[in-house]
This record gives sequence, structure tokens and C-alpha cells, in this order.
Amino acid sequence: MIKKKVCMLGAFAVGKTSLVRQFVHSIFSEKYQTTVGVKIDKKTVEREGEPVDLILWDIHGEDAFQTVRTSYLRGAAGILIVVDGTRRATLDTAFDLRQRALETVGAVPVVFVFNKSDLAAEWELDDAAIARVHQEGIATVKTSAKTGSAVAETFEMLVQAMMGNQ
Amino acid sequence: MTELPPVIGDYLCRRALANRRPAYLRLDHDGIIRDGGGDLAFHALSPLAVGRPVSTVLDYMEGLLPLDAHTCHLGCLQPQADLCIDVHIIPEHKTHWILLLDTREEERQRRAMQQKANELALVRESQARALSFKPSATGPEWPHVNFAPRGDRREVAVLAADLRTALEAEAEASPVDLIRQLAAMQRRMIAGLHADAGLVHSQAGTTLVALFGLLPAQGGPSEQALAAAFNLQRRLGGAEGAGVSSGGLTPPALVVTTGTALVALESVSTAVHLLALGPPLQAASQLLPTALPGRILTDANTFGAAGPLQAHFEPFAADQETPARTRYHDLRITRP
Ligand SMILES: Nc1nc2c(ncn2[C@@H]2O[C@H](COP(=O)(O)OP(=O)(O)O)[C@@H](O)[C@H]2O)c(=O)[nH]1
Ligand SMILES: [Mg+2]
Repeated sequence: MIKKKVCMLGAFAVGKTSLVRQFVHSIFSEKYQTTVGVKIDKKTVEREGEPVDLILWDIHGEDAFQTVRTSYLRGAAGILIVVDGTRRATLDTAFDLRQRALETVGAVPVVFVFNKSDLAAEWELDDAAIARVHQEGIATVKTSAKTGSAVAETFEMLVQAMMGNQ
Repeated sequence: MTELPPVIGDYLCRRALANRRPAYLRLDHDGIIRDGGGDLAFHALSPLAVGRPVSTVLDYMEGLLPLDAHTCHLGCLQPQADLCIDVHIIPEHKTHWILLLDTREEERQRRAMQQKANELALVRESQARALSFKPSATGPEWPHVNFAPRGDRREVAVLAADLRTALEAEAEASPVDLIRQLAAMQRRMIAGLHADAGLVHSQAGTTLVALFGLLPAQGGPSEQALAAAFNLQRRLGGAEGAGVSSGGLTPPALVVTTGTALVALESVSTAVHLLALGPPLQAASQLLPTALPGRILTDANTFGAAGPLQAHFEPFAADQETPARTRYHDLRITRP
């Protein structure tokens, strides 16, 4: 059985926990519950008829009190860095975290996930900003953990990239 | 480490492990479970799967082994809904020991605090957005500030920041890149100021001015502003040994000063702006050109009101040429 460790990173309240819950349990809650430490979840996906176990590390957000410890990233095969489209500063946090992740685990696949696409009217990030991230060679995707839009596709995209690496 | 008498050592050990439900696993050099002990049942490891690879028993071990010489500590892992544990992995001659400790209580306490802090930070972010950036469709609904929106006289702390030296140092960079970097850094500074209960009053060129004491927050205005200044320098690389890069730019020069100011909110078309006027704003802008990058220039009154925060700063040996300067503390962060 192939197993892959996947880390969710990002500023606080961008939707890391919600994305995992939507992906694994198909549920969403409006209520915000801070994550302390790491929630570990597991989901089996198929790739070319082969099952792949994703071990999901939903890591607490980067905020004034908690900086992400790099020991959590050890052994990660892929990383989703989540940005809240309605909070521009969370993109800067994303770049910081990407830098730290690269220094820790090396060149594993990274996808920037622009979440909360259902709140289009409140977005502070326009398509040009996302295009610039893309220009830097970073894979990008827009999701909504609320509606489920592009959530499964995001994980599929990462699986593709992780398996392609072998 | 200091040598402790056995009786003290034993006591500390018992204290540290009380209610921690310790359990351990011993792995061979292939990561196969060889044996284990302690409270295995609590950690859902009973009966122990001797002979199986540890990563098939504990999902979170995937990818972690082998360790080089160093131990690995993973704090507050929640491998299932009712567990929260600290995991320590200790290498020994190519084999590994795994120590598991219950941290549910710690997690509960930290979560309660973290929840409040993050909620408050989200409220402040949205208030700050309403104040200075985001036009609201319905016209001004005054956000929750602790002064009369139509005009008030308040004790405030002013934090002024200048990134001018970033421009000097990066003279070779292309103007477009430089402006982009500068904008990114200013956005990070603004986000930091908002998170620390500051309201951005103005932004012009390389300078940024924020007021403290106008949003609900703990501590007096001086304390809030110095804490924010401390956090800015720490996050943007002004503090020695700070882990976060400032995107290649030199850190900002900061001034923090306090006094009475006239403050009001004003709606211009559909956006709400903060208006402020008074001696501390003037003083801050006059002092700003003399402040040095990576440091915080503040006056004796403001510093005196900083409470326990004072311990984090050390007066930096200022040049004594200008007598006026001696009345100010030129601070350098000593303990990030
Ligand atoms: N509208 C909307 N809200 C979301 C979305 N994803 C998360 N949220 C909300 O954002 C808040 C933070 O989500 P959470 O998953 O806890 O963020 P985390 O701190 O990154 O784990 C919660 O109130 C969620 O309900 C989304 O796609 N759309
Ligand atoms: Mg979370």
C-alpha cells in the first residue's frame, strides 16, 4: 500500500481544517474552531486503479502565538498552502511558510489553495494576484470548503504531482 | 545541565509524568515494533502489534524514520478525536524509541486561549478593513471603536515606521521589483499592526503611521504600541536571530510616542477613514528621519509606561551628538 504524508499549512482561519473535513467527511461548519497542534486524518484515494493512503496533517495556523514547528513537516510528500481569498495578508503568510517548508523538506510538490471562493464579493485577491503566484512556478487552485467546489480536485492534483515525482 | 540530587530528580520526573499516561515503543532498525510498555491501552496500542512496521500501526509515523542523531518532538498530535498526545522519537544506534504522553489537558487550555485570541484578531482585521480599505455598500456603519466617531480627544500611542533604507540598500534592484517588495512588506506590516490592535492612519511612500488605544485591546496605548513595534521588528528581521526573512529588504526604522490627539472617523464616499491630529503625530513624524533601521526610537514617558515589556528591550548606544537625542531611548530588541 502506498502512503503519502500531506501537510496543510497557512495563516489561521483560512480554512485548512474545513478543507480536510470537506474532503474526508463531506461536511462543513460555519463555526470557527481553532486548531491547536495537529489533527491527523486519513483518506484513501485511487490513482490509476491503485489505492493511495493520504495521511493528512492539518497543522495549526500561523498566528501571533504559534509559529509552525518545522518538525511537523518531516517526511511530507506534498504540501497544500491555504490562502483566504478574502484576507490579502494571508498570501504573504503563505509565501513565508513555503520558504520555511522548502528549507525543511526540500523540493516536494506544493499547491497554493485560494479558499473561500464562494465569498466572491469579499475577495481581496484578484485573478492577477493569483496569476503572479502561478508565474513563480507555483501550482494554484481556487476552492470552497463550504460548497465543496474543487476540493477533491485539489487533492487529486497534489497526488498527481507527488506520484509524478517518483 | 546542573547536577540535581536524586531525590529532586525523582520528584521532578514523577511530577512531569503525573497524569501523562506515558507509553513507549521500541523499534528495530527497520522500523518494526519490537516491544513496548507503559499505558499502551490508553494510546489505543493494546494488544501491541509486535512485528509490524510502526507506520502501519501509527499513521502519523509515515515518513518520519529514520532520524539522524537528533530526537524529534511532535507536540499536540490528535491522531483520533479523543486523543491528544506528545510524541517523542529518540534514536539509539539506528533503532528508535517512541515515547507517547497524554496532553489533552494542555490542549484544552491552549485552545481556549487561542480561540479567543484568533477571534479577536479576526474582528480587528475586519474592523480595520472597514476603517481604511474596504468600502461598504450600505454607507458608513461606524465600526466598534472606543471613541466618539464624530470627534474625540484621546490618549493615544503613535507608531511611525519608515522603510526608506530599504530603497537605499537595494539600489541595483529593478524599480518594479523594488516597489513590489516594498508593497508586500507594507502589507505585512499593516496586517501585523491590525493584529496588534493598531489602526493605520496614513501610508505615504515608505512611511506608515498607526494609532493605538482606539480599538478594544489589553494594556495601555504605550504598551500596545511598543508590543506592536517589537513584533514588527521580530517578524521583519530587525531582531537578532529572527527566523523570518523580510524578503531581502532591510527592516523598518520605528518611532513610538504617546500623547493626546484629536481623533474622528470620516466617511469619504463609501469608505471610512481615521482622522487624527495632535502633538504625538507631529513628534513621531519629526523623529522618524533620525530613527535607525531595525530599531525603535521612543521617549522616556512611553517607555516608562511599557510595563513588563521593558525587559525585552535594551537601550542601544546612541551617538551623543545631538543633545535632544539623549532624552530618547533608542531601543534594540534583546529577547525575541
Ligand atoms: N464561506 C466560507 N467559509 C469558510 C470556507 N472555509 C472555511 N471557512 C470558514 O472559515 C473559518 C475558519 O475555518 P477553519 O477551517 O477552521 O480554518 P483553519 O484555521 O485554517 O483550520 C470557519 O468559520 C469556517 O467556517 C469557505 O470555503 N467558505
Ligand atoms: Mg484549523
